Amino acid sequence: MIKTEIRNRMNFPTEFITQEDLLEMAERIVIPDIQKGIHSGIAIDEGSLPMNDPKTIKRKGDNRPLIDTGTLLGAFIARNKGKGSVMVTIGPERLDIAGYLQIDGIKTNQGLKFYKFFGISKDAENLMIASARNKIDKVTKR
Amino acid sequence: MTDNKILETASDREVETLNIGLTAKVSRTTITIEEYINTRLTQGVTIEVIKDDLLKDLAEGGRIFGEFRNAIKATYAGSVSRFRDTAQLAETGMDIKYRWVAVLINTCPDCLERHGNIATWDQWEAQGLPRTGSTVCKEHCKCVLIPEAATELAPIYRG
Repeated sequence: MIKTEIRNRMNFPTEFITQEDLLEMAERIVIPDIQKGIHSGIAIDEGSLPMNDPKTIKRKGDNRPLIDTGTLLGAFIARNKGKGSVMVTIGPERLDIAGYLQIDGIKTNQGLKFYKFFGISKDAENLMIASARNKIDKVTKR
Repeated sequence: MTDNKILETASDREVETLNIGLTAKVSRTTITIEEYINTRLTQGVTIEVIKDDLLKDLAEGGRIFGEFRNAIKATYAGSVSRFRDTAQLAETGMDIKYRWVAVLINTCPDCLERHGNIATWDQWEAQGLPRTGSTVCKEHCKCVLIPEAATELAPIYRG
């Protein structure tokens, strides 16, 4: 009896999406998407960012959650971490307050309110997939 | 006793509680996309089929794009409860294996599948630690990684 065995010996490319691609996606898609969400008052999970407290509105003169001096909007950073990894983070000047707003939440009479402004939105995910698709188009053009 | 070095290293990974990690490495074999395409072309596969395969892999999160797709899944990042995992790691070290333990109340299908499975910390990290967005329940995950030995079932003695 002849015994046959089929083995998958195909090697797969390790770096289809390169470090440079990831950095570009972080800077061109992820960070602008977070900033756009803050500008439009839309949370990363597509809900609305919580309203400001009346006292805060009075002090700032408007009701734009998370926007006051503009420091937070400019605090997002993309960093190469090596080995096919890029990290998007928040600069130290706003890290504490950002963690407090999104993770710990702010106590109100109605309970805790969370500002989910940092992360990957469905829009950003779709744009990154589209970017990968463009790269496939490019490399398979013969 | 807590291993400060491990605690420091693990904390470094989470020190900026709000992080988005974009990753894309696939396997340990090192070939470029050009080599991959050329190899398949020499095997007689057409460029259209190669393109379809790549697009399918991207759509389904297969061997080439799986890690990338996992990393870019829509999620809001950061969770205080992840520090619990870091503390656990610092207490027990990286040389042992950990069992994924789910709460088993309203458990998501991903966690249900992982419940009881045993792996090293590195392996769990590669698959996605609890609350890192790698499961359906994302940051709301209530699962814990417990040292394998600590979760062995002991007989119940009745007096």
